[in-house]
Amino acid sequence: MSPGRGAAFALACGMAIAITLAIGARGGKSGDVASMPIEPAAPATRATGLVFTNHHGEAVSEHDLVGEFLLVFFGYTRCPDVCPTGLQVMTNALRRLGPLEEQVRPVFISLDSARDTPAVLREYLSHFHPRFLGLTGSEAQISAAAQAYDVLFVRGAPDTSGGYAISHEDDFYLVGAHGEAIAILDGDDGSGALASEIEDLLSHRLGGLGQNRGDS
Amino acid sequence: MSKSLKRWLLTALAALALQPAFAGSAEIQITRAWSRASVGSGGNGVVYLTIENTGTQIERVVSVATPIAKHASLHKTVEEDGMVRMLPVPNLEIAPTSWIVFEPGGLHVMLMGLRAPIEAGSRFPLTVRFEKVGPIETEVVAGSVGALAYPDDIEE
Repeated sequence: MSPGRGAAFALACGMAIAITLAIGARGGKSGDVASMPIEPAAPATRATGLVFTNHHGEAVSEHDLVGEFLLVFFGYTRCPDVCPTGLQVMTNALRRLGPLEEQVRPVFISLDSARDTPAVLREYLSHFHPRFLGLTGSEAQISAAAQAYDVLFVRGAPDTSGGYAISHEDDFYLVGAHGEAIAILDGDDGSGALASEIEDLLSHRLGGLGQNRGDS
Repeated sequence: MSKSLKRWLLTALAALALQPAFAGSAEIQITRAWSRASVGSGGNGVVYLTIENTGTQIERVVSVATPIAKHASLHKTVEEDGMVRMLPVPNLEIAPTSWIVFEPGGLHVMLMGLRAPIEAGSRFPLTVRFEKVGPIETEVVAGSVGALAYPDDIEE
């Protein structure tokens, strides 16, 4: 697997595997599986050369993210219900990973480039896992990232005070050290189940390291 | 997100009727009202609670209000077209001898325009106005920014 241009975030190439894994890990819950919003898009349309601004205000390219596993969630900091839940489930799941925790970088990509400045992201993410990487950017940069991950999002109409909500997908994307898609996970069964899925997916890639995990 | 296990746990806990925070009438009880600490200023907040109808008639929530926010309303997170979005719930019904648990990823009270930040560990009042029994005030306990349940629950 080449870490070169276009390989990072090339989720499309792994999408079929991801769907298989995601569904396979949920055995017996066919009702939930049927509602999973996974629709692979054509690989040829994928954006490459993704760039962001991180929560410290520094420019980050997709190449900077190569080298460690990523657990990615898209949302926005003014999202009161779904996003804090998602970030806390991520945080709790990583803490259950034992020796694998250090190898997985939790990433929050903001879908609200207008309001989620690096400073806002920094303050928000300080309440979650300490290794969180927050990514924001221009509207075009965020749209490109969402397209690369096949994430749908729609900004709602502004209310009387100018505020708005954003509809978005709420899955977790597990990405390999070379930017390849590993799985799309929904986290609906809580952080323990999410941690088990991540561990199962990563441990064989790491020569069984994850099997040292305790019972917690 | 559908969280059937968590819903079951919350329901089971609510059924124990050991809640320290209790507010209500003979027919309607509000328990386990909790919130999340807010980030920044002037943002939004959220409240989750349990409403139980021990009466013999259908009851409806007419409105919600709290002094800490300019506007409060009932919302429900739903999944549509592969995305989660929040929809207003203008007319929540609670059937006789039943209860409704508000929880992350589902029903919640949306607080818009916070007048002051919500601090973890703080408490604030919330008034739920019902069609028949009128207003009931309850005390909301704030957990962390990412709290997933009433503060005395195991965070899962």
